[in-house]
Amino acid sequence: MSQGYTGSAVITRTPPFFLLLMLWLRWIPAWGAPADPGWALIEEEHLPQLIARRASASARIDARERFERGEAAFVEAYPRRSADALGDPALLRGRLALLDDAAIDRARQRGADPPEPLASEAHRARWRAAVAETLRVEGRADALERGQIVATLARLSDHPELLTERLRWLRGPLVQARSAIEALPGDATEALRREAEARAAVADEELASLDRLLLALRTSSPERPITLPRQDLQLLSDPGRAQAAADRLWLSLPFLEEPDAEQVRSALSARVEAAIEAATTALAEPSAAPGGGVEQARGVEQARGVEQAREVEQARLSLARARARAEGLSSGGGGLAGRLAELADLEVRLAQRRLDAARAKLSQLQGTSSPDLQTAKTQAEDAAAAAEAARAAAADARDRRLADILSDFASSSARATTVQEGVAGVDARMEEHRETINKITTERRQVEQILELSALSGERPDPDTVYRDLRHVLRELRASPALRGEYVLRAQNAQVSSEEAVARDQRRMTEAQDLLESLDGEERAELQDTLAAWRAGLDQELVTSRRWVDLAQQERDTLFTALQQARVAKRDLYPYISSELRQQDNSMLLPDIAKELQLLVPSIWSSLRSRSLDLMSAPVMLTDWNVLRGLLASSFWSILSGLLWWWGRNRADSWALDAASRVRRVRPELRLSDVAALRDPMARAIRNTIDLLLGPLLLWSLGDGLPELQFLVRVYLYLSTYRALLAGFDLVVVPHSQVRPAVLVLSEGSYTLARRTVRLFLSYSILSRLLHFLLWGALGLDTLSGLVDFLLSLVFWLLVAISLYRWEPISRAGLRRRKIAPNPLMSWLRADGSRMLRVPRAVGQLLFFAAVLVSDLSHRLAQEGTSLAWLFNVMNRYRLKEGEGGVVQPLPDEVRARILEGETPRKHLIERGELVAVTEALSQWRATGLRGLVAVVGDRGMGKQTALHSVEDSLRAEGLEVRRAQMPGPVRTRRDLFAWLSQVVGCEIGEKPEGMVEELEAVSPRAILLEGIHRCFARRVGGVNLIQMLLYVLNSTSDHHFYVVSVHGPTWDYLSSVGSMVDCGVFHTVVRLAPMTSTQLRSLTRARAGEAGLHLDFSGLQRPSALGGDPKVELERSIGVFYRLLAEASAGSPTVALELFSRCLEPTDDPARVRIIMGAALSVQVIPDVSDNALFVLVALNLHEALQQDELVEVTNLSVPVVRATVRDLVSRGLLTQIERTVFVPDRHRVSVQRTLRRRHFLHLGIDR
Amino acid sequence: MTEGASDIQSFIQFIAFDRLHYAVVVVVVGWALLVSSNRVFDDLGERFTERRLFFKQGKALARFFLYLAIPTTVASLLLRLESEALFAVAGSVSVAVGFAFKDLLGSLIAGVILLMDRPFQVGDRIAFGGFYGEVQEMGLRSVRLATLDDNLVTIPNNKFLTEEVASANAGQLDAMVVIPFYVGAAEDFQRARRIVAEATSTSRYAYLNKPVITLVEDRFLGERFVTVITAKAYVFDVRYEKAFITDVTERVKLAFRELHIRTPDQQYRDLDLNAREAW
Repeated sequence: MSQGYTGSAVITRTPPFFLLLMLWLRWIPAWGAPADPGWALIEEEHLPQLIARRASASARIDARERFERGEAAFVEAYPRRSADALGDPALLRGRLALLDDAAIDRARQRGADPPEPLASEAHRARWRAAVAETLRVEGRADALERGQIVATLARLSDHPELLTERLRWLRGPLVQARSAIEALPGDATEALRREAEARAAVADEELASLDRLLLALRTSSPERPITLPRQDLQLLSDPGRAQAAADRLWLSLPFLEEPDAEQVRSALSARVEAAIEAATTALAEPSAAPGGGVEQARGVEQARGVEQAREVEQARLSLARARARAEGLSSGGGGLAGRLAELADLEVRLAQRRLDAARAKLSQLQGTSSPDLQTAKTQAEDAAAAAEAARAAAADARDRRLADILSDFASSSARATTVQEGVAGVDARMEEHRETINKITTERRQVEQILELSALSGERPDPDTVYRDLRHVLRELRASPALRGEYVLRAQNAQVSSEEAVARDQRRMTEAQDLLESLDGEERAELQDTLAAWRAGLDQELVTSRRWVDLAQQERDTLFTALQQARVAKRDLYPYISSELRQQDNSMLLPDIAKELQLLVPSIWSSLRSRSLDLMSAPVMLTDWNVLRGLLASSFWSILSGLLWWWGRNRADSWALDAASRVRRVRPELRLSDVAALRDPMARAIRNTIDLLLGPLLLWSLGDGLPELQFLVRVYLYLSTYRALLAGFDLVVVPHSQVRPAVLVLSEGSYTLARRTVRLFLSYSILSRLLHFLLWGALGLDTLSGLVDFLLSLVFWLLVAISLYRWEPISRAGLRRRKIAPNPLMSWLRADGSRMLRVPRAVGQLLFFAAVLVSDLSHRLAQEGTSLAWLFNVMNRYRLKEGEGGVVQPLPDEVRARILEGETPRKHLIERGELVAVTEALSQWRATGLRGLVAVVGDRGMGKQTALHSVEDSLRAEGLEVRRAQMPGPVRTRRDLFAWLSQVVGCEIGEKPEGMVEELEAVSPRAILLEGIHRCFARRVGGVNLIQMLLYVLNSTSDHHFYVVSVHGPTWDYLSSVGSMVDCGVFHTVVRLAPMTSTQLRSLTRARAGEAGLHLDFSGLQRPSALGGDPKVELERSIGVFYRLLAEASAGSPTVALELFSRCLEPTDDPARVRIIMGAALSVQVIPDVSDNALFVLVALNLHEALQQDELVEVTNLSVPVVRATVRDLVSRGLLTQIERTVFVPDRHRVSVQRTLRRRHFLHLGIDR
Repeated sequence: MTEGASDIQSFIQFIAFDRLHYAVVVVVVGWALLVSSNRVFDDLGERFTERRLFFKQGKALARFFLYLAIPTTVASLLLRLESEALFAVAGSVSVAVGFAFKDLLGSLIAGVILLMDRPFQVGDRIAFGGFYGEVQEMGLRSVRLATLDDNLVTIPNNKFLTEEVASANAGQLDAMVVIPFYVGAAEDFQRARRIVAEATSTSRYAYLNKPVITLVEDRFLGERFVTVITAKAYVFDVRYEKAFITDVTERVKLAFRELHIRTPDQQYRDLDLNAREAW
């Protein structure tokens, strides 16, 4: 361990002290801060991934937005989706599901912990921010895609002709033509092959055109309108490609703008008219059977081809009819759609004729010519055609229903997207709020630093800058719609809408189930998928809408907390800002208040709405066990508090009665009627105090669940405070007319005014607290609250002025009643002058009475002898008039001698209660015959002689023979001691102690009083032998005689401390004479003065008091102070007190009258400039009471010259008195000497007395 | 050299000259506080003798505190303590200075430990390293000891942490004093013991609030069989320790002489004489 302190290894590495101190103060926390390895790993691996994802998503967003604006192709925006998938709702819905999964995954990522453990909160915040930003960008990209898909689904539902499966009739032949070349037999001719290639090339082109058109149609929007297909218009004139072009034009017609549509319509109409004419002509001609020479296979093929052609025409007819119906036209009823339907119908009929002919040919080829079979086949074919037509019609209606379902599903998805966006919006806003909260936290820390550090510190932030930032943040927060609850309401409204819409959609889904039954195959599966996705979407929408509400509420709560923190910080910082900033603040006072008020109503309104929604949802919340449990718990405490409160208030009366009874026990002079009169005010005070004590308990138990009830309880508590304090006033103060005990009794007028004043200030106090709570606590109106507080402070001073104004006449009257020496100030205070000056006069009067109160209080405390009585004595000393320069004209010696040496008349003798012990000891000695040995101990002049006089009288009264003597001077030999003793007792002298004992026992029992036995003691080697011998003799004969001895106090203390040498325990009873009190000294001095024929005049003692007052009372107080000072200066010793008292007397013209003046005699000072040798001499004299010089030499063990010189010096200073060879400390200096010896630590025995 | 000069230049930039006047005020006020506190504590110690040691210790604490507080305050005012930059500059300077002040620092830290641990305090009589005397002052670096032959010994603080130190009075004014007396083995030891007890109890220096004890023991000293009477008593002020011993010794010797109680030397000399005479 020691090496650790002084080992050089430690010290060599340690910088010098100052630098070390500074370094230690500044950098130990930094050295202790741990590194964050996790963050390094994240920075290296994970953050780049996030950045890459963000970049990729940003690129996708860019491409998709350009696609939306028509600046980019579909494949560029959605490279992983093929164009033909746009016609398949199932595929689109599948893609939506994938997007939902991606959204869920993003939500999961948002809440996940960092991939590596991070030690620093800042790093964690950075990671979260990076993740949030990436997810936000990806979410945005997915949102764009989702929007595109939903729009496409909506388009498909509105235009089912764009569905991929509906366009098989259009694509089918083209695909077939394209792949015809592959179907060629191996032996096909070159011509056939070339023909097939040409057809394939055309089909390719047609397919590409069709795909482009379909893509455009399915994804068209106002930003990507369908343009006039000029190429197709041109192709109308190409017989080989006209039909395909016409079909494309026909598909695009509903999507074209009107001028373009009209152009297309007219082109189509021309072609349709021509085609109708041609078809009509063809139909009019008889049907031609296919050419002969065609083998059966070819015939089958031909029939199949014709059938396919017929199916195409049939599909075309269906489309035309659908369009016609949509336009409200019937087939052939006019309009292009009608004409096209008519054409299609003709073509179908033509195709049917051809089909029939082909089949006839086929039949012919097959060799079947039975008419029945023909009829059957024809019927079958007719039935098939009818069924086909019916199926087509049903398909139309079903398609419409499906389209409706898809449309509803799209709406639901859009709605869900809105809700999701709402949630995303809250998340995004929370990120911003987090920045604000961090900012507030930083500023709060700065405020704490400002409060803790001194203005000189270099690290202290600038209060003005921080205050400005806080003000700015508060303004922003207050203006935030989130704080006003708008987002909460929006979320709640959205929740309500979602719930309604979800209920509606669920009904529709139920209807859609019916449709499911009528579907089969792919359509059924597709519808099932749609319904499942829809159902899931609805559930998710409900969950998300609730979550939105919760998040919005959390957002609001977070902002409220931040607002409160910012407000508190601003309030704490206000005293530290510069005056310029305060002025600036004040200059913006009204605009700030206006803004606060402007926001007040919306805030209250939104709080009320939110509160009402909470209350309305309360029944639902009660189904939640956690809520119910919390409610039960708080209800329990509320009920308990309420019960306690009720019980306490009911018991108030009986408690008041008990309290009043206790008062009577302490003050038995009270009457029963007084006690009864106390009961009522005490009961009121107790009741209201119970309200004050238990109210907060009820407030706590209510918690935050019922703020309205809390507010009411708080108002009730304020009122209880008012009532409790007023009840206290009524208890303590009464008017004259009421007869009951009280601390203060006032006249009626004063009482009324006092009560009114108390009520006024109580009301002000409570009102100001209530206002502050309302404005600052409840409504958050900081600026207005500050202004109101300022105004209330002005109101306070106004109330003070009003009260002073009202009180001035009463206090003036009280001042006039006091007899005060006239002076300008008192004259002005007592004058009945201008009303304008009543308030300053009242202030002066108030200060005067406060001084009187302090003076009276100090007197009372000094009189009651509290531990601080000496302090009050010192303070009150200055009330006493001193002699000129502290010098008192001395009394003539013979007058002083009469006082000092006279006897105190018996009737004025102070009874010493301690002497009762002597009587008890005597009784015990008489009863037991044992140990009649009593010691009376006291310092010189304490009254031992007088006490023994009293003892002597009482012993004589007991019928005992009393012998009394005082030990003469110092006794130094055994012979002298025994001679004196035998003389006192009246017996023979003994040679040895045993002989003395025998001699003493030989005489009859008597009471023997021996004064001053300490004179046979000397503090030197062998100096205790005599006193030990004496005690031995007395103890041995104390069964026979009753001894009372007096011993000098310091000697007794010394002998007690050296118990191995002297046995002071032989005394049965030790009576220690206590110092006299000031009252006793007063009685003594008056008695002595009276005995000396002197009248004491204390009038010269009193200094005229600036506070006035009753002259008799003041005189009495001055006399009390004088005697307390006398008691202190004399240490309670009557002899010393008389000596000092005599030095405070001044003769007057009347020889029988003496004046009391404060003199220097009562100043007990520590003696300065006393050498050690002088102190040793004084210690010896204090111990022995008086010594001769040679004894001093023995006792002090100082050399003779030293003792002589020291004594001479002390005598010259008056500290010692020498009479012949005996030296002693004079009475007037005894206390000073003792105090000096104690101060210098030379006197330490008996210090606990 | 260039590096050192650049370090010093960089270091100067951390001195806030705009606060120099505050630093001067702090130094002046601190010096005034130091002087006045010394005077006040000394006066109080003289005035209230029974608390003399308490005021001496208070004076030492006040001085220590002021010696630490004044430079620290001045440094915090004058230096712009920005961690990174000061750390960069202090590195090269501190090592060199550290070697020069290592002992000083060790004494300073030891001084703090002495004030906290208090093996002794100002006013105590201590025995350390062959020196015995009264602790006059406990400073930042060293303790000053006034020996009984009025030498002022200065002992570095860190020495006290590694070696034993004995305090006679441990902060109290009174201290026990042990005074041995030797009488012949054949002398009246009871009377001698009584004399010793009386001489000790009656000495003007004796502190009688604590007991006076006398012990008797027989011992061989040299080639002689002696009775040792040991007085153990308290002196009321440790300043009078030796005076107390002197006073008691004088009284005892006088009393022994009067009552013819011989010392071992005297006894053996008389025996020799008797034996020679007998021979």
